[in-house]
Amino acid sequence: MDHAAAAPGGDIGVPAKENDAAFYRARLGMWMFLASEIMMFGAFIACYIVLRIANPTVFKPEYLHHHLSWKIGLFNTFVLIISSFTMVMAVYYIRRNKPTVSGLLIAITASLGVVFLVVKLMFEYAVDFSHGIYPNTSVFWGCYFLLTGFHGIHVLCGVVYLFALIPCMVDCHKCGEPRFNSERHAHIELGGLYWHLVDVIWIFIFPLLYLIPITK
Amino acid sequence: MSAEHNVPSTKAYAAVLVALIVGTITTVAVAQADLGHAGNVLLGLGIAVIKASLVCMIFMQLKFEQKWWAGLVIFPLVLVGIIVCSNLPDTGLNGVRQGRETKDGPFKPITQDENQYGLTTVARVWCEGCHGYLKEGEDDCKKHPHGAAGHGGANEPKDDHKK
Repeated sequence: MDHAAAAPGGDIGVPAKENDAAFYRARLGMWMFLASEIMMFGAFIACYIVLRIANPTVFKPEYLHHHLSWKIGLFNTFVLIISSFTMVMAVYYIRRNKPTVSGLLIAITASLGVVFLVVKLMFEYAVDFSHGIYPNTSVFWGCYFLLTGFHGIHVLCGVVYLFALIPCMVDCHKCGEPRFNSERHAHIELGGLYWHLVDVIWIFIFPLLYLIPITK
Repeated sequence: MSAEHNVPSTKAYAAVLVALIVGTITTVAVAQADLGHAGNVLLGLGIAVIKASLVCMIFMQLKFEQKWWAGLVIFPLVLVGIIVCSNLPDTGLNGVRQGRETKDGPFKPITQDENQYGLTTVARVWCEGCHGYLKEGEDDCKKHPHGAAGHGGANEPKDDHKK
């Protein structure tokens, strides 16, 4: 079967049209889930915007710039952008029936997610806590820990899911399922959608928390 | 299957990656430039919207799905706009009104004591000597008085602190 007309959503042996319908439903369901995620983070960001306008003294640039390192935020932004690229390439190669290359790219993506979390925890949260900065320090820090904390949890979930996919890139004798290939890779596509959403959310968090406070 | 028949090439993915990196660098450069607070904020968020659109359309292939799926993304964003706009007339405009004259004298923003929601709106004073924040309500560090503390206390003007 040509990979372009492949049916990645269902079991091998099911007629192509039926698989197409299953994969369509799976993608639609995933997009609805992502819409709920957008609503949740949208509400958090809306709270941040309203509180920021309401409390300009708490959000003074000189007050925030003292503890927020935009360079660390920039590094993490690059990490997530590159991981998004490796993820989309993993989907690209599994569609072309190259599970080994795809598995390698998924491993790189998950590893970049680990790098993001390590930087976040070791170079930001740990330093903040050692300086006596907690979520109840001020409105800003409450928003900061809420947004970055929830985003970090989502990154962690994505990393766990991606690492769980890697064993499925080879033939699994334990469960008897064939490995992912051009006809069976819905898990990778849907995981990719989730990972890209994590990247999109960070694209907004980075300027809102790290860059706007340093503007005059 | 629409998403399968219109898969972008690796060149398109690479172009998006380059655009995202360039956009990120531009965002940082814009934040450093003095375009006015509103200018910095709007330009920074505008670039973020473009970057997010690229990821959604190309990486997530929303461009190749059915058109109405875009509503799944746009609808929550409209709700966010409604949340922000509906809150502005209430608490959101406290900061904007700050310092303006009202019929009862200068407008007084919500403080910690008056805040009916119990939000901490008073930032604590930073002490360079202790390398930490003072307790709420404390204006000066007992160990490092006059000078070491006072970095960025929200309701504590720096000049007054050093008197």
